[in-house]
Amino acid sequence: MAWFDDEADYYEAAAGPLRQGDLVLAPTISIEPGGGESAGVAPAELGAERLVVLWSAITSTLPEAPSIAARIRWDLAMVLPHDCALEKEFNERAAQLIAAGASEDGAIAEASADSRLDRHIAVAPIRGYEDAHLERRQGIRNGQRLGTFPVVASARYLIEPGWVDLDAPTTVARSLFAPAMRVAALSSQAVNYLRAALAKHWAHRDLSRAEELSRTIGRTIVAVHAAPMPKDRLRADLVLDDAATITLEGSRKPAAPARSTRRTV
Amino acid sequence: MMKRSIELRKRKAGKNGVVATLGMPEGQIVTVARVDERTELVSLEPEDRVREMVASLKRSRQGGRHALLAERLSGQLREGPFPPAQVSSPEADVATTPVEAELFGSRAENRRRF
Repeated sequence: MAWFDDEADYYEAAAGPLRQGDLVLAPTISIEPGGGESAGVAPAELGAERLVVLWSAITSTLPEAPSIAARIRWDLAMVLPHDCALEKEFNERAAQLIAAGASEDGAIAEASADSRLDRHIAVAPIRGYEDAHLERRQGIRNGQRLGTFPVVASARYLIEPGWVDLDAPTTVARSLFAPAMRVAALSSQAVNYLRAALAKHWAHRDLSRAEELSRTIGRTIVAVHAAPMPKDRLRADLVLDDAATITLEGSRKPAAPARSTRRTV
Repeated sequence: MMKRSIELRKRKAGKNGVVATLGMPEGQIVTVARVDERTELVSLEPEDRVREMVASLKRSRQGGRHALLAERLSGQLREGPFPPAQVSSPEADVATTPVEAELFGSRAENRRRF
């Protein structure tokens, strides 16, 4: 996909409240068994990573928790939730206040000041390509690798190329973020691709197969109906967006080889 | 006046850590343990002298990721509110229907064994 290579198509200037796809400075964490360092002074460089002990077990039996440490990274991360999820409680509270007679500006001010609303924001770490297996890097760059989302290098926003690790999200308190910690935002087009990547990774993986089929036949598949068939046989009707139907029939028995018009010697 | 050198011994600690022991001409010893950006000092030396010793150590990572971005952000405050959001109508919280659930009905096979 060519647009992934063009920062003008990928980014836009960050403005307004936090939004899905924003690139922010944030700590991201994964919990690991075992020990680590004690807490120290905060890192002053992006990309710094530490393994910090959280607690130590005394026995090796339940219900005591095991010894764990947090692998903490300080770097760029991407905001994952949909904009509606980021402001769900805010909107509900503002609507309540307006219904109770407050002005819209007053309701916005009061709901914005309530730190109990929409307290948590999920972010995923942005890693360098050196953190990905060599054979996976091109697939990540092309936006093909499930569980990842490519980050385009930007001379304008001073961002090095990388990828969002959708497998390693962290929940961060909203109050930790400040405007200076948001360095760029995704374009509307890029956010659409991010949403598709999130849906595929977390809930809808086999959508990609339907997409492959749709690309192959040049139409969008809107429904699939399987017909009852004898054992070892399959029949499926693919309903297309133009109301046409493609019927697939198959069998577990190997198909006869295709007949060639060329004579073989 | 004869210049007496400081003896420096280093040993690696962990992946990116270095413990440096500096023997002073006066016979005193400063031990500086550094792991990435963390620096822990064990010393009875004057503070400015210890700072000098720490500054003489080479940093384990030069610049880190997004070094130019870090430079641009240098000195900016980590506090402050975002502009307020605009109010939009609250989402309708509707229970998932069987038809919607069926869209997500595919289960993976041949999973990794626990």
